[in-house]
Amino acid sequence: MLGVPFRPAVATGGGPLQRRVAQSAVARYGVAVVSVAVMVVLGLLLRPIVLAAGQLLLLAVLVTGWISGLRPALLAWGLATAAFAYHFTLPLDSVKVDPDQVPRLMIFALVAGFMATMSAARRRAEDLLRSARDELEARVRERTTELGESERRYRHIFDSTGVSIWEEDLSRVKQALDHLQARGVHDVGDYLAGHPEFVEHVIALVKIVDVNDASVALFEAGSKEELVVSLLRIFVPETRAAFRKAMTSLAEGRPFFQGESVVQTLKGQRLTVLFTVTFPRPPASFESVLVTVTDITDRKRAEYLTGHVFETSPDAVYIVGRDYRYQRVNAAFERRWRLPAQRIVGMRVDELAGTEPFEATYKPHLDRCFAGEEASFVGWFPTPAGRQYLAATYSPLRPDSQRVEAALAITRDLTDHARAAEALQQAQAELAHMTRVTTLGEMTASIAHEVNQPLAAIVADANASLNWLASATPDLDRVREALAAIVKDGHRAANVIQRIRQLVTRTAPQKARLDVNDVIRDVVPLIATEVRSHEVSLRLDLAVAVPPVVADRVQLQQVLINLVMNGMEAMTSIADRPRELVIRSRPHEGGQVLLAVEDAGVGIDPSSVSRLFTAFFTTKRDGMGMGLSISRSIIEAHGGRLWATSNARHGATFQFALPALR
Amino acid sequence: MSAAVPTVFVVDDDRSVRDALRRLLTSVGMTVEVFPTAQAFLSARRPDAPGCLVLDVRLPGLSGLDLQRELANTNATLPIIFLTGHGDIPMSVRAMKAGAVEFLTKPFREQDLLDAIRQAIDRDRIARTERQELTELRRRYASLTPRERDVMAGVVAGLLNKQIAAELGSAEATVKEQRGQVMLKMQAGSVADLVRSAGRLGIGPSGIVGPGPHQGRVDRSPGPG
Repeated sequence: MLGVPFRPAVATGGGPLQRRVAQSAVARYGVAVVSVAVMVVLGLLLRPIVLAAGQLLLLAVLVTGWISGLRPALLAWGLATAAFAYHFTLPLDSVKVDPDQVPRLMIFALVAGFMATMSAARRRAEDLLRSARDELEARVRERTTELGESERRYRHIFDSTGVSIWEEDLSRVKQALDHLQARGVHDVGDYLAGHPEFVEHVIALVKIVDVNDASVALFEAGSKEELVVSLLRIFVPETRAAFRKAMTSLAEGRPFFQGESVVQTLKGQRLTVLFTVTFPRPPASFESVLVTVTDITDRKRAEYLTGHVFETSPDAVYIVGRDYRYQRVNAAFERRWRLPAQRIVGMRVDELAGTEPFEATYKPHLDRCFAGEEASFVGWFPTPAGRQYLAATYSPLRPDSQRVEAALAITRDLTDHARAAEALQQAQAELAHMTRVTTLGEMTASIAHEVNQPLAAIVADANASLNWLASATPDLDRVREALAAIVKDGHRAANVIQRIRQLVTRTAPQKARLDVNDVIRDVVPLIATEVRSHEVSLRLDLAVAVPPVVADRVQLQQVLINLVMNGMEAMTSIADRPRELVIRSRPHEGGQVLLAVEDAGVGIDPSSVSRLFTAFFTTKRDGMGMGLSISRSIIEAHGGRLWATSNARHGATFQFALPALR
Repeated sequence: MSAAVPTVFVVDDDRSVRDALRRLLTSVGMTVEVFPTAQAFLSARRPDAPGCLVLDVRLPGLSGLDLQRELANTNATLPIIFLTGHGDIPMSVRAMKAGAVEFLTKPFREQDLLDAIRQAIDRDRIARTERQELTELRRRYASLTPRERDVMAGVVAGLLNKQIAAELGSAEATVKEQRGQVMLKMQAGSVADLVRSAGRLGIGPSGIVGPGPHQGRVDRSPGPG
């Protein structure tokens, strides 16, 4: 039964009393019984005076029909007819009815029945009417509340929004423009452009109804009143153009106008604004037209700065879409390709930069960028200005969505740097060659010894063979033995010469996969004689498994020879301890391979540590001071590091680490 | 001892050279012993026979020149032929000054080496003979009594028996008898023989002079006596 009391009354109910009665069938039928009883009592009281008092029972039927509806009324009708027959038809107080009384009783019954139905029908009609009215009233109340809410919301938005809103009355403006068109002016825009005085007139016709707080703040006004005076207070000459366009839109019956313009605050500050006018539909009134004004001064400035950076960047900057077509390019890019931006925009990258570089380099990096990664690369690329060494970075652009829409490319021309680096490398290679030759010069005696040893053996063995063959019974076994030794020593001599040739031949560095242990083993025969003449004992301490490196074999040998020679020379004055030199190989931290040459010499003078690797620094009487400097630049060119440390007890360790091949 | 076969000793740390030298010298019928280091050579037992040393100048540890000095110091004379992988003039000068027979640069000509070896062996043979004679003379001289030595000194000085007797304060007859003992013990056939022996022993006319231990090195042979 919840909520029922608030519903509009249903057909069986009436006013407050009826509604309450209608709730219970007992009550409703009780009304019939009670009203009939009351009328019987009243009729009996009046019967001695007039027998027609029995007609009062009709009232009971009428009342019951009115209050309780049709069915209780029919009950009342039955009861009333019975009571009438019993009490008010002759013979009185008897169920018997005189035959001459029958018509009277019939009439009573008919009238009472008619009254019952009539009264109930009336009751129902009235109830329907009442409920319809109640419903209507409720609806009106609801709508009123809604309208109030909407108005309140609108006011709230109007007042509290950050957007400046102007409520303007343009009805007189509309009239003036209509008048103009009525006079036969078709192109309102054209007319306005040619009639500035008319524009001023129209401006004056604009009545500012209201402005919101945001407008007061934006235009630096003290109050709304200061602002609503006239549009002229915020207009600057440039504003007129936008105003003319807005008026043209109005005259042409467009639904709204949006434009960008410059205005000024009451304090004279210039603002760049975006304003929107929503025009009412033609039959509606132009008394309340809303104009919103958005301050885009900062945005414009940022746009200007971004655009300025884009256009004036010395780096070529461009945007490439997912279709590999240029969307925007800057001036530096135009200069590089010697084409105007209009020609480039829309071209595919391969059409401009060439199919081969596109497939090999641009496309894979662009694809990575479109997949969301930042991609960078450097290389030589053909351009109309010749081959250029370009360093490029592609950044993904996602203007709206998560999907990368385009790639922002920034490319820098490093041709000059690359050329300089190449020249430097060339110079270094020449210097390295020179020092290599110098080192070899210093090692000539050793090298001669190294070659003459096998040659001496060969000559001696050849003579021995001749001697054996010259005897009466040649000892061929001995001859064979000597010849085998000749072959072996011949190869040995050739190997030594081969190694020396490698060191002396001027070749561009050739990087290959190398085992540093092999490099060490190659160097040992070259330095063996020096090791002996310096009375040094050489010990190899090689790691069983070192990862390979990518390096130039000869250059590494040169560095190693340099370090070994230095180590040995550092020990020439040592007499009180073994002159031991250790060449060591080890896997090193960070995926590197370490090569160390440890001596037991005089060690490093702390005052010269910092200059150790600089060119022309030497502690030797006849040294050039190039060895360590060259060695360091060779190792650094291999992406490695060369450094020196003092040993715990005696001497120093010179070592270098190279990145291992993964 | 006397009819021993000459032996050539080779010290070179380079195995190829060492073996080649062994094969070459064997092919010309020489007896060869090879050593990789100076120390190995020094610690080996050497046969008592004439020989020479073919020595590489640059050796690990004790170098060729060191070994030459060492041999000189221990009075174990052995003619040395130096070999070097490269011509090092200061080094060869030092070696020659120290008495090397020859200084050969690798690769050497067979004939140069064999000539040098033969020369060195000859020189060693002579030196060994001289050394043996001197040893014998010293042994003989050691068998003289002090008085006989004094008499010998007088005879070598060319004095007459009478003069010797006067100087020694003994009878002339005694001197004469002692002089006979000296001639006998020293196996001298004549006074000239005795004088020559005294000269080789380094005994001057002034009196007693002991055998000079530092006179072992003989550079120039005076020829067999």
